[in-house]
Amino acid sequence: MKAETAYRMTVSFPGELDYIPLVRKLVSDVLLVLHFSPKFTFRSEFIVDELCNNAVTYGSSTDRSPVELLCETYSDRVEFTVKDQGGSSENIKRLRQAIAEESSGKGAGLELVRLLAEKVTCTIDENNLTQIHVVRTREGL
Amino acid sequence: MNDDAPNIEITDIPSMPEVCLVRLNGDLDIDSVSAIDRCFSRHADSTKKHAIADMSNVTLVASAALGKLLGIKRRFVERGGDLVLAAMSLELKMKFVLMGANKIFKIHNDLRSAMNAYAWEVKHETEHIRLSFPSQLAIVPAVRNFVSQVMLHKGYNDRDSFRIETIVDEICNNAVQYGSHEEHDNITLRIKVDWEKVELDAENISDPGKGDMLRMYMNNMKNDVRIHEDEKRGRGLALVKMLASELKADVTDKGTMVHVTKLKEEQVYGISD
Amino acid sequence: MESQIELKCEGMKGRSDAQVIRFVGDLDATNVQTVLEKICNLFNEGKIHIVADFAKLRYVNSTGLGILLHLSKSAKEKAGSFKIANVNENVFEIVEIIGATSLLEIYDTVEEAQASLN
Repeated sequence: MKAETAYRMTVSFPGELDYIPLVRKLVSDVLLVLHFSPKFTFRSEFIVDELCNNAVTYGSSTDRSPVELLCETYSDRVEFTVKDQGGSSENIKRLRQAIAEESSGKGAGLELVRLLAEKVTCTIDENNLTQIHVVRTREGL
Repeated sequence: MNDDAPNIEITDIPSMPEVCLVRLNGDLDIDSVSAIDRCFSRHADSTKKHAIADMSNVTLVASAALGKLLGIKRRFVERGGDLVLAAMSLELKMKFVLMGANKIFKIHNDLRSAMNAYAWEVKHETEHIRLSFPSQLAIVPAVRNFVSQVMLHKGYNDRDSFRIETIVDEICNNAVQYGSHEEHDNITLRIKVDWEKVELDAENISDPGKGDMLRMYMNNMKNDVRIHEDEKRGRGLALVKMLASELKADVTDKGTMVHVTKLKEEQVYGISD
Repeated sequence: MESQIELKCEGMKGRSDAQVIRFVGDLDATNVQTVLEKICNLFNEGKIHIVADFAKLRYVNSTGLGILLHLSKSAKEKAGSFKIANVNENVFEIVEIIGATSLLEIYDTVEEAQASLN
């Protein structure tokens, strides 16, 4: 595999908590198939879990828009992007706060993701589409 | 928020006209009981059958307020609905457990899950899941296992879930086998889950070099599938035909889409819940 | 459907106020309530010393850790304790990253955790 050869997997699912364990397990199973180590896979499963929990908690509370997870694997890293539509302005405010405040209880999950990953970026556009992008480098590189 | 009811605010949910969202705030002590009552009497008209209470900003629920919420819940239950609670802090949740209130109220972790649960459990709305994954046989087991878990989660029994897993396995394996393996030419699997049935669409990107294989595959789709000892894929398709309620395929220059409908077992045999 | 978690309880010889609980499966946001209910019931029965055996706890997330910290605090408030033993490497790493190693009483084995009660 060349460093820039990516495998892309996307999962779009109802914004409901009960789906998250199934989604994180799917990602974990796929990473193991793609020869990522069990430890790296476990941490990635954790990251996916926290990102999706975050999306469900802070995302849309007025309609049933889906949560979308994009997982890109390269030989040297994995990148996760969680997209979520239409969070209420109040929730977006809370999310911004959670991202800004390192020790905020609400953002504890995101803070942990930051500790486990190399790069975490969050964008919220004018339509309240939230995107959290995480890059995690393979160990030993 | 109303001046006379500082601890409660009731709003509509645009996508769910029969549901109201109740935001409760701060300490729900004995003084807030009458305000809760007044606000409900004024806003939660009889067209609302169901209420979801956002408890994320609630710091305390005194027993008098709990009694009031129970009374309101009863009113909704009489209308054929319910009052459910969502987004409680861990501290509050623990207090509810200690008071035994968790046995009376349905408690959801967050608002969105509460709304989705309503849409599924009460309105029986369809849930959509879409997966796009690299065209590799090694990934199919993870995918079929995921779908099987989704089916179990949505109340399909073990047998149905297993059969759906088998269908997913076969149609995805076929999609990989007869499609392009180029880097970004993913397989797309769309799952529409209903109370009575599940619909699966597996779509691949065509590989011009596999025309003959695809024609053979399409013949198998049209005709009754004979099981040849040397033809592994034919067997797979025979299995899907046996397990599914409906099987269709659509071939274009771009790719092949296989559509499968599988009715829930109790629908087939007329067993009701 | 929630994540699979099973809590198997056993008594402790000579200690009517203590209980060993074996956690099997994943601890996350979907099963907070199940875990809270089970352990609150034990607290209510006067079993205020809990030894949680994590040998078969495969996974924990930040919500799960929140529950553990909360249970530990609640046990202490009742003059009891919440001890954890046999934590697998992956789970331990998460506990460590969140900085909970100093907040939770962690032991290598259930026997060591039990011995610390006496």
